[in-house]
Amino acid sequence: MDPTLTRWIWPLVQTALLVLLGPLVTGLIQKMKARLQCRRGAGILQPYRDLLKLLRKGTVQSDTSGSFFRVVPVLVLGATCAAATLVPVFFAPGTAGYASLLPLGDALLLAGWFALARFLTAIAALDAGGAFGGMGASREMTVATLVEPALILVIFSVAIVAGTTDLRVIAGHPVGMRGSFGAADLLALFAMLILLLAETGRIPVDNPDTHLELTMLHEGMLLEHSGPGLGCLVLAHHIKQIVLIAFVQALFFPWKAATATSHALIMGLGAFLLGTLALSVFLAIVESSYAKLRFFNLPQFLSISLLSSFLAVALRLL
Amino acid sequence: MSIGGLWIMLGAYGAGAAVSILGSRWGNATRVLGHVALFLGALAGLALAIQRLTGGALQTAIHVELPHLFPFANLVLTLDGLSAFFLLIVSIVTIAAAIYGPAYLKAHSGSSPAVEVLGINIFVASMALVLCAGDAMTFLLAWEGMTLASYVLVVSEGKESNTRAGLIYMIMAHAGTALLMVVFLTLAVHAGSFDFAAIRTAAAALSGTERSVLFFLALVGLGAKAGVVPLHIWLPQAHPAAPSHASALMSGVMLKMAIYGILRLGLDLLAPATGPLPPSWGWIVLALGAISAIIGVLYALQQHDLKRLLAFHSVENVGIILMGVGMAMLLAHRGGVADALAALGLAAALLHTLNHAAFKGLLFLCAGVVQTATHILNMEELGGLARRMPWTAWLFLIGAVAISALPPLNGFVSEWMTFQTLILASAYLRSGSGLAVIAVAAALALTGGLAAACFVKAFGVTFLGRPRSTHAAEAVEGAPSMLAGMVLLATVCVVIGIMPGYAMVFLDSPVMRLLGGVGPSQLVTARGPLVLLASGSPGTGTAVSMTAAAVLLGVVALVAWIVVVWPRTLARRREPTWTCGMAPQSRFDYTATAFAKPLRFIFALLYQPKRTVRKKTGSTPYVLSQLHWQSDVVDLALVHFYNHIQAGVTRVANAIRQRSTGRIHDYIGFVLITLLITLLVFGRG
Amino acid sequence: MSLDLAAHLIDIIGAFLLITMIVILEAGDLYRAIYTMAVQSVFIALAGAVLGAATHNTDLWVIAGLTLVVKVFVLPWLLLRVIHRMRIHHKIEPLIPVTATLAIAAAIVMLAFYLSSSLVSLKQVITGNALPIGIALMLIGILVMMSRRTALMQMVGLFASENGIFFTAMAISQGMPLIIEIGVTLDVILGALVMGVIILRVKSSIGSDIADLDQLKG
Repeated sequence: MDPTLTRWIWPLVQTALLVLLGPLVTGLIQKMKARLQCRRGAGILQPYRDLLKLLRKGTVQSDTSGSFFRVVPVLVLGATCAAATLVPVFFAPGTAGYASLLPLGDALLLAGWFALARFLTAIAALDAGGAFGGMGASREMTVATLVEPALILVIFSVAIVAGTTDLRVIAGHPVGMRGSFGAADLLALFAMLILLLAETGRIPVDNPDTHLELTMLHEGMLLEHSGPGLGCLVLAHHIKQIVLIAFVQALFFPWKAATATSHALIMGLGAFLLGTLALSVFLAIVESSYAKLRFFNLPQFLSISLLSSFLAVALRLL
Repeated sequence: MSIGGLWIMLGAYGAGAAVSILGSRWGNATRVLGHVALFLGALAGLALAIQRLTGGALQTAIHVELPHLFPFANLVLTLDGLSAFFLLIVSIVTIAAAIYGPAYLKAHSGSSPAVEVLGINIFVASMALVLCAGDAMTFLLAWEGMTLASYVLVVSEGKESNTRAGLIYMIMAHAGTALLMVVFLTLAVHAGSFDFAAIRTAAAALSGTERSVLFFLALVGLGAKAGVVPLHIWLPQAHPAAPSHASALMSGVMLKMAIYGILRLGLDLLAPATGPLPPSWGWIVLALGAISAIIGVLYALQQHDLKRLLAFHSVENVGIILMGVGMAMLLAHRGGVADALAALGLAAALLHTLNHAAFKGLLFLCAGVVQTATHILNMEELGGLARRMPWTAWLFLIGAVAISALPPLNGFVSEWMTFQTLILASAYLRSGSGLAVIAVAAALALTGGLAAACFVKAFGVTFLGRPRSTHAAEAVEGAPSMLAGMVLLATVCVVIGIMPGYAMVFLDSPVMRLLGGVGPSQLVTARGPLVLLASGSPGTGTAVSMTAAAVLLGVVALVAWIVVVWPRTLARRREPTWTCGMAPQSRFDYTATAFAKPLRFIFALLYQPKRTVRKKTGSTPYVLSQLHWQSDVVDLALVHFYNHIQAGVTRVANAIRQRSTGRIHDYIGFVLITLLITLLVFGRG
Repeated sequence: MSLDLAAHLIDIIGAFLLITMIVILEAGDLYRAIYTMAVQSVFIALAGAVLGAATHNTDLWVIAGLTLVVKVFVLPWLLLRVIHRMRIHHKIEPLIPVTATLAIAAAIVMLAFYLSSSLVSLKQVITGNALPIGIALMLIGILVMMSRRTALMQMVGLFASENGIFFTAMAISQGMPLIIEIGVTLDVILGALVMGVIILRVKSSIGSDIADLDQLKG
């Protein structure tokens, strides 16, 4: 195929795949949780039905909020979709094909997009002038503060060997080329799994199913939105979850197609789906096995990931 | 425009000062004329700087030697790449401040127009002179002029707290200047003249220890001006006291003069002629940067006064700039990959200097509009301003997104470059040094998260929610000229954020002047002006296109808006916020103290907050009639460091007071003894 | 099994040991700390078995089995019995703040790497990260003993530190001579028994924990 065309197609296809599969992953996790809790649970496709329902509903807006409140959901969705273009799903050419990639961004820009989405959501939460939004925003920004350094350390522990922070190049290095999967990788993976729980807002950091003000971080910020705006924010949350799952796979289980042959692509896609399934099972099991931590015990929990990621970097360098 | 440009610029500032003296009774006309002169001077400075920066990489400096004005020194004015870059920063912020100033000062009638105009013109003129100084005497004179002029601006509103703030500022600034004087005089004695060129050649012959001692003395002196922790205590008191456009200049530009001094002394004057700098320089600057960044943002989180919050954020950003400078000092002139990384680090630091001037200036100007409209700066008493002052709110939001280093604005670009320098340098250094650099990167990530939290609080509590006082409920939008100044700085933020490659051209001259070698425009924009590239070794690297990122965000948001939000067939209702069935009041809004509480709890070790709770019960112990809750977060540097120093000085002063006799004969006797000793010691030989 | 493969496996086991050590350090609950210590001992037994298979040293198999029996089953059972008998509150309070513990643990790991690089002259059986990880584990175990209030946590810290010593010995030589291993294990069991008796006696006579004994000073 024409090389300039392929440059544009890969990000588009991979992003579209992530956006479409996002709600499915949430539905899968909900179904698994239900089964583990001896319930039947809603269908796997329920999140899609919820999104369509929200699109058809009207909006109720607080009278203290202004035009800014209406703009935030689409900006958050935009930022999350922009982040989705940065993770490789099944095609990662590695350093050899690096020059052919669009310079869309690296892992730092990914963290930046998520930070922008969080910032805007938190501000919109304060706009309605209620206590729920304020508390949710305050707690979410606090958790973000504890998560950012660990996330950067995890990215750096892998970037040191790969020489770059671009995820599509990192994923293109087969693990064997990076040195085998050693102690440093294990520590970084452990840290990243804890961060995955924190960033996707799952137990034990946050409860995604509740609407009590003292137990919600992310949900608290969404409370005042309704209708299509809420649909945008919920879709953004689904996309963020699957982007983070793809991020974990790109860093630690990078079995992606290095060339554009159909055989390699199908293998890459299969590996991605398998990895997504494994991480979804992990999330569902963790959610069903633990209780949500008290908020002021969260720093102690998140410091495990900080220490772990720091040790991963130390093992790499020393 | 070459030499003429310098004279036009200084002449315009001088005209502004003259207007204030001649027309001290013209009232508002003095203000407007003085600010017009300021504007023209800044325009001249801008044109001069741009011409110098784009006019060829290694053009020799413009050299102006004045006839002997002092018996022991020539005054020399030069403008090389580094000076031109900082002059660019000064000019941009001054242009915005000049447009903003007249309307702001008219609304705040606490000071006389003559004093304001004189103060600000001399302030900017002395900053320009510091940059153009080619010899130590001009530098020191202009430095002192800068301090005095800004002192005048700090105390110009005549309140009691302002006077106290001014006093602390003067003490610390003069202590710093004294140290600088020691350094420059030592160098001048070595070189036999005050000229920078002579000093440069003579310093090459210094021994390593002498060089390091001089550098660290200068670092302390300049650090006091820059607001490096623990020398930062004057910043949160002095910056809020000055009028807002002066605060913007002090915070956005004057701190950068200290950075300019560190760069000039560390990488130019005191640097060894060949070979790398002593590693201790780079490590100490890096450590100071990391500590200032974290402490600055932590204390910013606990402030309620909008301007004090912004002042503490300046401490944080100076820390971030010093991280880049430290990396450059650590890796300079080591050959190969290290040189490219040093250039990247210095480019990141200089770009952050420009970015910080733009967004901090914008934020201070917005705070000034809020102060003019409501006469309150305490966030807890504001609220709901976004509906009454929409322009100010959106501009403050742009400043907040920029300072939190969020894409697609300019703060993210310089932080991205700093991160890339840190990660590539740690891969290059390996072992313990690499690990220390990674720890600094973790500190930078922590400050980014904390800054975002702080600005969610600042923007949300001030502009959103319901008004919490009558002043806030009756606020009006600022005057158009004030908004124009703010829009200018916001445009700079957005443009540098979306198209940073074009700003790399301006960074070529200073980086190549200080480090030699390849300029940033060949390193960072090697793949064209729309793509930023950071690479450690050939063949690998990370490329990001901020333009593509911004376009992507815009396109997706637009598509989502059209598809999802725009159809008007869906019902839209406005209802009061649900507050558990009670009528919503402003007391339901989340306060700033509550917002910052979790972080106050987590970082209690660094804050050591004090909490007092007093309860008064009624007839039975189960009925509370009054509850008094007070929480204090005191600057720890103040408590542990300065209070002890102050106590010590007071003790010594008391001891001397008890021993002083009060008779004039004793004092003349002291003079006689000192003269005798001096003659004995120095008069021989 | 070749020595290279064994070295790689022990490297990975070292990472798991570090992970369990961090969880013990940051544990807020006695049960979590004891179970994690048991899991850590499983990993030590695995490491012993791997090294035994690679070097065909039957002593190592014995040590692995001993560790498995004693530290995975006997000692945790003992500790749980003390908890049940004492009916103590199983929340752990740290004596120094969590952030400080974190920073000290990170510093200990860096110190361990620095030490091991200056001990290069030692001929190592398992090269790479194993020696510094072993030293770090030992020191962090002592940190756990130092920074927690309950006496039971001090025992858990002692056992975890023990694991670190075993791992260091495996890295340097092929494990210590069998007689020393058995002797150390017996000492540890004896120490655990004595500690258990003392804690129970103290609790039944003065009704408070060992950590409160600092009120007895003059």
